[in-house]
Amino acid sequence: MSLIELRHVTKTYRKGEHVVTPLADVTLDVEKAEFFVLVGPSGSGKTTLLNLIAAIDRPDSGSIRVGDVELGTSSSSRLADWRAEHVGYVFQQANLVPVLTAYENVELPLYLFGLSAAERHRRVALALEAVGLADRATHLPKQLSGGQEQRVAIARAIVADPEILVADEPTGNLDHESAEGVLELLSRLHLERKKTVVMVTHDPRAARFGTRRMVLDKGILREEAAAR
Amino acid sequence: MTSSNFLRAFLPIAVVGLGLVACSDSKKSASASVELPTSALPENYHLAAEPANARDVLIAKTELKDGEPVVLRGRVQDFVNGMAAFTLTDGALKSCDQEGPMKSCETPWDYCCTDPAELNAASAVIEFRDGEAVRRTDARGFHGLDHLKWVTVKGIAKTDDKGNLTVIADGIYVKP
Amino acid sequence: MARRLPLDYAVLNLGRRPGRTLLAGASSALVAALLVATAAFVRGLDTTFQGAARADTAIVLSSVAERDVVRSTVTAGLGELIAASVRGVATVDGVACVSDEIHMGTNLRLGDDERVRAGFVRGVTDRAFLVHDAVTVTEGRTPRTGEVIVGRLAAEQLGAREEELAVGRTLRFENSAFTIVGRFAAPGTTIEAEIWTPLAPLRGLTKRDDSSATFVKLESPDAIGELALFAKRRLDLELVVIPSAVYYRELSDYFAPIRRLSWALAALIALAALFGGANTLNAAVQDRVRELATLRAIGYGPWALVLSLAEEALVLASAGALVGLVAARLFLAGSSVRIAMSAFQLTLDPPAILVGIAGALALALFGTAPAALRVLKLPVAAALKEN
Repeated sequence: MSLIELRHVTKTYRKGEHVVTPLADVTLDVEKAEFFVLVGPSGSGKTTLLNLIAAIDRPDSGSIRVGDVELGTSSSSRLADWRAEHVGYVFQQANLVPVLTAYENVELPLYLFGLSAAERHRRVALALEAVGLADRATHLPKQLSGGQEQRVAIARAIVADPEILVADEPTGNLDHESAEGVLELLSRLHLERKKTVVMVTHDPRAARFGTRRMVLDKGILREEAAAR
Repeated sequence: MTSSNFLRAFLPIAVVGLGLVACSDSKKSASASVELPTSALPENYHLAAEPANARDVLIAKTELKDGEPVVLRGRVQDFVNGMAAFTLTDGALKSCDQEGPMKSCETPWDYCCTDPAELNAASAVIEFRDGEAVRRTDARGFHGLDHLKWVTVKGIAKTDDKGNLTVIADGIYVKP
Repeated sequence: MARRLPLDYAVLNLGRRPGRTLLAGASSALVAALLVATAAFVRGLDTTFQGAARADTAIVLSSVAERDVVRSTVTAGLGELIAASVRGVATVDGVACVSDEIHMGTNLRLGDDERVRAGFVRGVTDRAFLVHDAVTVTEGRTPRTGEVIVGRLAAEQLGAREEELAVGRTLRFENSAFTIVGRFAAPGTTIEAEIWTPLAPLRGLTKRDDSSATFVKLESPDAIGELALFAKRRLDLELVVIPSAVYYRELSDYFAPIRRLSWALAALIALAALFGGANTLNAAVQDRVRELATLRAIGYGPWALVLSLAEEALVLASAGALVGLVAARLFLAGSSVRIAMSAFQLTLDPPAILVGIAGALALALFGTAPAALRVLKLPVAAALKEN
């Protein structure tokens, strides 16, 4: 059984007077410890698909099962709990809390687990170490470069040790060098920690890092051979 | 959220808030005569039938001498709280509920529409005594005794040179 | 699963827009100070007008005066008559506690100052001190003919400086000069705003041979019935007996519109502050939509965010309220207010302070509502894309 199973998933929303269908009858399986990359042009529904997998959004029809949890029928508070435990989300922008330091930003998800301060400290230190920013712990986001901010965001995504990492255009706002660094980091997490990574990108260079690649266009999924 | 949404969200809260801070006058308590207390006045004061030869207060005040037995009739004007005593007013005087500009007066028993001097001249005090002292109990409520009730009292007159009349009662008939 | 955001997040958020935070804090301070001032005013008013009320004291006044002591006239020897006729009148060393008094509002001039001031003068005998036992002469001595003693708040009531009513100074009324020979206190009563002078000479000056009312102290509250009975027996004297508790309560009720107006004014300003606070927090949420959506994506439930917003508002309101209370303490403590023919001190007591704090905090909580609603309805997926 696949870790992530989407069956005949359709999602529509209204945009003014028009009904937009970013996902039409999508069926998809993502295996455990896979680095799955979804490519496609802007507005093709990639982020919608990612949000459905991360239980931030719900489908209009069809089913989404992750592990043994059916996301479409769970309550929103149950989904919030599930998200905290199973999913680390990396956004196009780092979305760090500007008034908190790198350390405090990474610590945020851990408050959801009732851990002791010592345990939180241990995990945050490990996460910052993993992204190579242990020496930037006390810096505020505005004191970090774009690449460093995104790496702090990745540390925040992995600090609670979720099995799935979802990344929405994680290099979209970065220069070439920083982008490479972030992608290598994601790849390393996938290889060394056996994380299942689902990444959305429209950057062909980024797509190379995936073990499997699919194209989403006008709501329809098409499989392509892995590029790596 | 647009500003109209903001207002929509906020207005009910504001209304509740205003309701909390707004002061409102509690309704005036109902007139004193709504609930009649029970009187602990001894039963032997009660007269089942109206005694004969009753005099009106105004006439009695001019005729009576100190120490004379008297039968006096009139309407109850006011009670003395905690004391077995009340003022009896000549039946010729109209209480507020009977006539006058203050027909809707909430306390007609105090004859507030009548000139106080005229009222005092037409009133006497009825006392129920134990020896020399007036009994320390309310007379109100004794066999339905209440403000503006027609009563006839039997007793001994006490007068002074100022024209005041007190009757030390030994019996009272309360007209139903 | 523990679902709260750390308090640090709420506190640090306050530093994001210092100007806005300062403004919201200042409005909390203003509300707290205003509510404390209003509560102190109303409590001062209430306690002062009811402070003179005693369960064992009654006022005998004319039944035609509509319960107004100044308008009332009773026969000159009423006190003696009551002492001789009524059972249960209290005595001190064999002297009956009955006090014939003249109460009058009159035009006064202080020293050589020709400015006319409206003051309240009470003509008394020595027995007044037996009945009004809250009165203590704090400086000087009791007055004789041509002399007065002044209450602690008389200067406030006259709109004069304290030194203008110092012992040894003079004041003039009814075409006569009076020397101030003493000062008195009667804490928590309206009496403190009065000027007392001997009764008999005052009768002469005002060309009256009566009194305004007789104050009677009884052995027990039960004896008020005996006094009322006396008034009924002596219908010729046209008297009415009012327990002092009732009299002062009615006097206090007279100021109910002022109390209501004060609260309404405070409520109005608080409401403005409420709107201001709500708007500020709402704007803060608008600024932070993507960040809040991120927190939701991380796994925080909507109520965790609402709680954090409430903490943010409460922390600010508490700080503001504290400043407001300190300001109120500095500016209001010991102040007195002139009202009608009297004056009273503001009562800055724990209940008044509690009203200020509770008001500021309640407003902060109410003000969170629109922002909270917005957070609860936040469409996370869409908000993550907001710029």
